[in-house]
Amino acid sequence: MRKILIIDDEPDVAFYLKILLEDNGYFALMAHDAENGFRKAQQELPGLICLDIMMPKKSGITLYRELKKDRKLRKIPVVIISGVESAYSFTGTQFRRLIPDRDIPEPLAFFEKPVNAQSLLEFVTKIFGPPAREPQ
Amino acid sequence: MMENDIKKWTGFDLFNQVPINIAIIDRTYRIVDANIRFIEAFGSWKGKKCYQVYKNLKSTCRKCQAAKTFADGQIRFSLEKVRDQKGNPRYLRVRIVPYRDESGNITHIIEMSTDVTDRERALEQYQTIFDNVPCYITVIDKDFKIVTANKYFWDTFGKDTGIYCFESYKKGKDICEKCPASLVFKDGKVHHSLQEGYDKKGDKVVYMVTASPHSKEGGRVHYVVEMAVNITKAFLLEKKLKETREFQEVIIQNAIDGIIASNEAGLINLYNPSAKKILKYPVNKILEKKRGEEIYPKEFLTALDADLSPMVLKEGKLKNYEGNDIPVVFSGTKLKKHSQVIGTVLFFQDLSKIKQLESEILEAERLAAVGQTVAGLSHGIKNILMGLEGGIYVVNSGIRRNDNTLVKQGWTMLQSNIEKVSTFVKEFLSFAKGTVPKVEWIDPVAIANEVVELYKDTITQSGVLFIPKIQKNIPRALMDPQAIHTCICNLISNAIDACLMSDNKPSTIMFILFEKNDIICYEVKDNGCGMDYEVKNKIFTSFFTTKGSGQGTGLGLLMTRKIVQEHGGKIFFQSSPGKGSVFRLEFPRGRLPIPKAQDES
Repeated sequence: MRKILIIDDEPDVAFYLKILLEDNGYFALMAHDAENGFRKAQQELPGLICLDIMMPKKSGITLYRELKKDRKLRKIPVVIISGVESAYSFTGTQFRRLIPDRDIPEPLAFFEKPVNAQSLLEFVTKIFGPPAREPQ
Repeated sequence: MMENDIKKWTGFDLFNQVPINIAIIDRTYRIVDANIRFIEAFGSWKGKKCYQVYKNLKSTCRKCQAAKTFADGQIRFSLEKVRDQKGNPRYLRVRIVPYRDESGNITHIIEMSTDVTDRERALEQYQTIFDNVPCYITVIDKDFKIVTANKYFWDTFGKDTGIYCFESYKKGKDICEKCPASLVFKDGKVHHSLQEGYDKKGDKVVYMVTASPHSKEGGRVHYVVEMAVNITKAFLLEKKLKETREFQEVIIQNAIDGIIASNEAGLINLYNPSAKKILKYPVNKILEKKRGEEIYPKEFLTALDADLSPMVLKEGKLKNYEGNDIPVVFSGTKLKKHSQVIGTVLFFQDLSKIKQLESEILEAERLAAVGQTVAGLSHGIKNILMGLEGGIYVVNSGIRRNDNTLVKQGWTMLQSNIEKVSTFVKEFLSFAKGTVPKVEWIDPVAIANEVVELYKDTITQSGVLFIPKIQKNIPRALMDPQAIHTCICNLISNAIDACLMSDNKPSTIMFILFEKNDIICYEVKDNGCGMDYEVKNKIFTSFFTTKGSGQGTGLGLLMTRKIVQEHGGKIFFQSSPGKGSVFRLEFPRGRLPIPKAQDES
């Protein structure tokens, strides 16, 4: 299934990503907060999750931790898409400071907003393999 | 007749006129004759024994000198204590001479006595005085040997400590360095000096010595009389007093606090260097020239009038030499000895530097907030940029797909993000300007009540329980009413959102106002969704909003913090995810801004 879950509290950002991915042959779902995101992940078991960091109630980091601790969901690859200054904040030691638990792996990739659409699509292609049909 | 022969020998007139008592006594101690002087002293003698007349005894005296002369014929001198006819004791100096008959036998003795009572008494008195006078008296010879000394001296310095004055006085082995006696021996004049020695127990004795020549012969002094007054106690006391005074003087002179004191008459008699640094008065223009009330802050004078001193750590103003007002924090009190007022004292610290420092800190805090805002700005712009890029993409995608709805959605995205840009720019500019709060004397309670009125319906309609707890009678404070209003509204509006995002039932918002320790506190407490670690770390970053697009600019808390900082206050919060948050604004009265002079009226 070429199903991707986009979790972002900015509706504009989520919608943009949804249309971008749809245009490239993926099936995209949206959630606007962490709790909804977790529920949809359980229901839909997507092939990839695009996750924002700064969200109401629960942040993307907390959700990431929960996803990676869930037996069913931990295998779903997660890519972080955030406006936070740089990828550096969520990789290496900075990431370990936020999540000291060694059992939880670092996210697969980090994309800084505004996202370079071409790089994101290339990354998604790597995860799912070449698209079944030509983009419209 | 023998008696007649004797009279012949002495001659009647001489016998009676010599200024001595004469009695002639036979071997049975019977007085056989006496002169008029004798009768004057002892009364009638006829038929009486000598011991009866002299001492009113019934038998001979224990140490009878007459008996000895009867035995050996020697002339004797003695000092006798007798009683006159009134029974008063008298001292007699007696000379006993034997009288021999023609065959050489001692048949009589002649007792010639002089009354030396006055002299003896004087001697006794001198001895008593000598021994008991409260000073040490020693007579010292040219070798510094003590010839004689009074009892008080021996009692203090010990009798067996040595024969030389330096041994006795100082337990020394050689003549003292500054020896007053040797000076007297040299020039024959009286010398005084302060000396320290050791008593028989080894304790220090401080004494003032007067050394004077005793017997001069041919311009040479043979003896020196040293009279020394023990001033140990006074000396030690004086030393202690001096030390205490010096110690206090050091403290006063080096105190960080300015110290001014005035005497009973109100004239300033203490003005330390710190006071001078703050007030700039030259010492000679203030000491004994100015009165306390000309300098003291008016709050202190009011307290003195009302007998309310001491005052501790109050704020007030002092006028310096140049006539400028200096803000100070001061403590002051009346100085009392028993219940009598002997002056006043004021301790004060210059607050102008502290005030300046405080405003510098506030400015630094504001700049730091601006810095964080600039950092946050990039974050906000990234989101807007992505919204704009997204809008363009969605419009294009709609055109490609021939989907009008999608095109419209794309346009909406473009519009809302362009709107966001203008809102952000406006708010950021107003934030960055660092407006000075327009403070006035306001009632903190009134502001709280206004906010309650404004929000109570909205909150209740949202299904949230609203509990205001407003402490009454909080004194007025210098604040910007609109700004404070905005702060509280921000917090309450955030609390409502947090409650709406949470499933906690019943959702509650508490709004509390109280004053404690001169700190005015506004507190907003909710049991809404709370915040986790990352959100907590970012809440004061501008443009960070968790409310989704269209709600909130992300400047609310940043603005609140800015206003609070401009009022010299602090913002505190506690939050746990799923359980709720507490935000508290603390405004210490001492740090509230001071209105500009023209605003004061």
